[in-house]
Amino acid sequence: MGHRPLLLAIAVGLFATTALGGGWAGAGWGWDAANAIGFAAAALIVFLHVETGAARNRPAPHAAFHSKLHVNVAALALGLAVAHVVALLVDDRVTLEYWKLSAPPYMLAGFVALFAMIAILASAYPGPRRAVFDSPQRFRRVHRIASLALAALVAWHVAGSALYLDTRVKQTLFVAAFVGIPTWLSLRPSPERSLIDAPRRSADEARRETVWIGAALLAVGAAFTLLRNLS
Amino acid sequence: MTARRAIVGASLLAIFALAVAAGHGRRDAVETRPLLPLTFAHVDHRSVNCITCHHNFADSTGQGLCIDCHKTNAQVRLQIEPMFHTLCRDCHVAKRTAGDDAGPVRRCVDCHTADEAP
Repeated sequence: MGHRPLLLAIAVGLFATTALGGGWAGAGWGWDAANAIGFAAAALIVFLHVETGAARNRPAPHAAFHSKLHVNVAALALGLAVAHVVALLVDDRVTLEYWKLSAPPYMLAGFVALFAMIAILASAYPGPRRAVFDSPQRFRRVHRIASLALAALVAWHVAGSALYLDTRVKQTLFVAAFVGIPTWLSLRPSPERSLIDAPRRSADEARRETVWIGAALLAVGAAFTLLRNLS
Repeated sequence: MTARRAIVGASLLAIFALAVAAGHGRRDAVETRPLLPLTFAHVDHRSVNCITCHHNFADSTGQGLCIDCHKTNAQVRLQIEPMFHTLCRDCHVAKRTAGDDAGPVRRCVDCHTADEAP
């Protein structure tokens, strides 16, 4: 499966999980839009695990593309996560209460996840990476474990808040997919890929692909917000 | 190599210490946090049985205002947020899902405002 169908499948799957068995009522334009942005960030975290991870295992002509796409998508995910927090605060000033230590654990998990994203992303750039890790293997191992921990924190945050995943079935399905799929992919050996006949893709192309990914997620998020508030 | 290991080890130790401190700090923070303002209109809730909220009238668990127990009793004060959200919000969400008039369902500020309602 190519990037685009895979991303759309993940994003639509995540949003669709919230509507299982009914429960499609809107909570207000601002609130639903802010959370749609959060779900978009979550979709990108899965996408990072499923598609663009292990970029170094790709044949050389494609490694640059996958490497660049991985970094770009990670930065996009972080940007969306920050936008999710800011948008909620703008729409509802009382959400500032969830910035405090007295907030429920699942909200604190969201903040820890945000800082973990920053740390994971920052430590992956060449300078910090070489300063902190003494070998590429060690970096990859720590990066993979930290990314799985991040997925678990985000799953806790989303399922724990239970705003859209308001039944045990939805929560279980979400956590199983959100943590289970990346864990399974992380444990299995990297698949052999024959890309000899595939066209070479450049790092510049990765930038354009990132723009497409961002636009597609915004479109899915907008549809989620529209459907919830117009129905 | 040794310096790097020391940095990583110190970082992990610092994270662990921070998590433990945060756990203790959170308990204190929840217990001492001032109550948020809240608007509630009894007139809008006449269809709800009184003891759905005022359970102490039926089960003799206390007297006076809800907060007299829920903010001070050691057994429930740490659960004040999930308890009241489950009681109020889940009922509103269920009504909204059923297509009935439901009142606020998500936005915190819709309930947590200082407006006095009848």
